[in-house]
Amino acid sequence: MVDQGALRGHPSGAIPTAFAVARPDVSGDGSVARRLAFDRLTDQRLLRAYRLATLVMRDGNEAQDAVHDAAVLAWTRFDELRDHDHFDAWFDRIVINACRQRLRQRRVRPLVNAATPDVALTDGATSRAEREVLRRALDRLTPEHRLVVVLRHLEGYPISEIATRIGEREGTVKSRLHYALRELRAAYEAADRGRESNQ
Amino acid sequence: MSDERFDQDLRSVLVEAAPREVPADLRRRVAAVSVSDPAPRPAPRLAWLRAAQRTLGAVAAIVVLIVVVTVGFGLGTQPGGGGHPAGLTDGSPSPSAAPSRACVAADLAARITAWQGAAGSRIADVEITNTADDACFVSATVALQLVDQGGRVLIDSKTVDASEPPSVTRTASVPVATATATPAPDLALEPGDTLRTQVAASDYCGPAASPPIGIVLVLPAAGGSVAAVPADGVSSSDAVPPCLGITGGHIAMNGWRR
Repeated sequence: MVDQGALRGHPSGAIPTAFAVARPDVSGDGSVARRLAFDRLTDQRLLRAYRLATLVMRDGNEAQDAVHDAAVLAWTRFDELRDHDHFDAWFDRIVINACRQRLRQRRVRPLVNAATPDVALTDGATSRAEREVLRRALDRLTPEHRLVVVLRHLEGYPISEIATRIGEREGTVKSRLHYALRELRAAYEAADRGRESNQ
Repeated sequence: MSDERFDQDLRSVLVEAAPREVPADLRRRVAAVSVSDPAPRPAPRLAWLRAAQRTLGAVAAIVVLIVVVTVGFGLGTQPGGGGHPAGLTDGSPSPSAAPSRACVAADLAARITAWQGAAGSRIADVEITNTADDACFVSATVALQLVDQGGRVLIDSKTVDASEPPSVTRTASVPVATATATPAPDLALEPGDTLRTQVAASDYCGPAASPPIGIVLVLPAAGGSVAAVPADGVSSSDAVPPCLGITGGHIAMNGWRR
């Protein structure tokens, strides 16, 4: 155990510069508790946020920057969030907007699938080619269309939840989902027909 | 082709394209967010406050106008308008009997009742108890040190690293810090009374530290230092905050609570 007596007499002046802190920061506004809450919430949400950003941006580095942007913005606005139970949707929305912002600013190039792993064939009925076609079709979607597909078919959110997260009406979500899936299905069916005709 | 098979394949493609873990660099950068800017801007609250102040200002102006007009027409209870109605002063609080002396280290016993960790921060629940025979008061602001078993200071709130002056001005520019800069009052501590707070430490980049990890409260005005050590059963094996390389070490506390 720490010797309490020894610590009482610790010379506070003899501190190595490397360990010195720049800010005497003592506040009575609950900032420590707020920081703890924020750190915990972002920690729990980070993988999903990064996953979402990566799939929307199709670029891991850009996704990291977008999530970091979102975390900075979320922290500066953390006091606006009255109910921490709503953090997930609130943070998702900030992440999505950060992705949009970066896509607008940098015209992110869709990621070519060089880095994506080979598709494992889990059943005999589905070919590697069909999934590859589906993956490329996904890449060709607009970010907004890809976003609703990811939120619906990966995260499994209902339409109303997606609408909340992307800040659009439910009708807009349904419409985007409809057109995105139509495009994906067309590519998938074409590949399916091609496979059958080759057999 | 069935819808079910399409849905399954679509989900498989999404799962395969999705990252399975957060890159360490991103985790570190996000953990540093709340550390590098410890006091976020409560924009709506300030906006609301400003609006309320404007409204109050307008109401006050109207009240003053009414009073002036009333007095001017000789309808007041006190001709001449110089005095306050007696009723206005009756409700003012009388000053409470405050302890006459500040607590010094010998008056206090301190302990850590829990260590918590989240992202880049490590947070201690700290209690101090007045073990003296008479009351004393504790300053709302004490300096803090994160120390290891040997009493080595890992992070100190008092010392300013001369090589990084911008971070000092950064704190001064943070709106919350200035908005809440009104110093909290000193707190009276009767014999046996306990005060509680939370202390957060982050961004320690020095050599490995040996647990148990404690917090030293450095009282102002040569009051001495009180070490809070983990209470029995409280582990501090994960109490040293990870190195973020942002601040060179940061430690802060909430205001005291009873």
